[in-house]
Amino acid sequence: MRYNINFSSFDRKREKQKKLLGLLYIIVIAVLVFFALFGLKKSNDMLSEIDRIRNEAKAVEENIAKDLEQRRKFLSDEEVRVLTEKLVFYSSLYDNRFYITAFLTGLEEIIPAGVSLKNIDIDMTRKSFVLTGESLSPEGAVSFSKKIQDLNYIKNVEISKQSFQRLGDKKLLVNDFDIKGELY
Amino acid sequence: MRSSVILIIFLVIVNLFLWLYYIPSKEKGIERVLSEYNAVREKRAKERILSFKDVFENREKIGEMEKKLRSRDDFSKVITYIFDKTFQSKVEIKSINYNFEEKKDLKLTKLTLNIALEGNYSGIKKYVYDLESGSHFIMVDILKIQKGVDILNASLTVTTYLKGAN
Repeated sequence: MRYNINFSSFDRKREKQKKLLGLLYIIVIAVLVFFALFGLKKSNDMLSEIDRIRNEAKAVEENIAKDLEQRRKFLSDEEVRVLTEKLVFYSSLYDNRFYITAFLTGLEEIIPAGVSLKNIDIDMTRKSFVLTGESLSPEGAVSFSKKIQDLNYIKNVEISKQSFQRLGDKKLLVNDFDIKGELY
Repeated sequence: MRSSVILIIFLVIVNLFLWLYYIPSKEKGIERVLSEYNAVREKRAKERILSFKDVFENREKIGEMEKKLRSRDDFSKVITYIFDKTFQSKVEIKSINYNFEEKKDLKLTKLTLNIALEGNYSGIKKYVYDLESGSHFIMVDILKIQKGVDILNASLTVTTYLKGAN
């Protein structure tokens, strides 16, 4: 059997620790340098972005000034104000227009048999309506009001008044009703 | 060893400065200039700053919309038109009263007419339809139809606008 005896004073364990520390040091420095460089690049990008936005805002302002100058050669601010207000006004008139005849046609299509109307009152300024009529059965008014509610431009339909009377030797039951509702 | 520690401390300070102060302040800077930029862009819409091209386009739109409006001087023509429509729909006008309302800011006159008429249901409906969809811009604001003895009575409140104001 042979034995190798090491007589060297070299401390391997300590040397290993030193190498490890050195490596750690390099890693820490590398990470710190990386973050510093990344931060600098980010700051630089942000500065360029700020400049870009400022330039764009300046261009928009210049454009507005140019447009105003060009337009004022032909039309005064007052004329443009009237024009713009007219456009808003006309648009509101035309866009929100509701045709009463469309509502009448809608009613004609859904009125149940045995129901007739005596009065029709449609007020577009208040966006409301009241229909007064009579039916030969209590269900007639209820069914009519439900059908009105189903029209897509109508809301909050209710039977606001209802009365019953027997006619013709008390064989015929007549139901007078008022239906009111709102238009969108 | 000492120089290594100093280098690490220096880099840590640089990073802290960058990430805790400099970059957040630039982020706030971006937000600020962005809001300034948006304010400038919204200025055009808010203050209704229009270019000549916009004005020209708006004029065309208004012209289209005003085609159906008569001028203030044509008031009698509007009344004639309202009467003419009764012949086609076979209804009879019992009375008309009207009032003007100046809309000086828009250089328009609002004309409101209260029309009382008689006829059958289909005639009244046709009359209302003719007014609503005719060559004059007329809005039917209120329609009341009441059953009479043999005939229906209707009252209409209609609105139209006349170009020009006194």
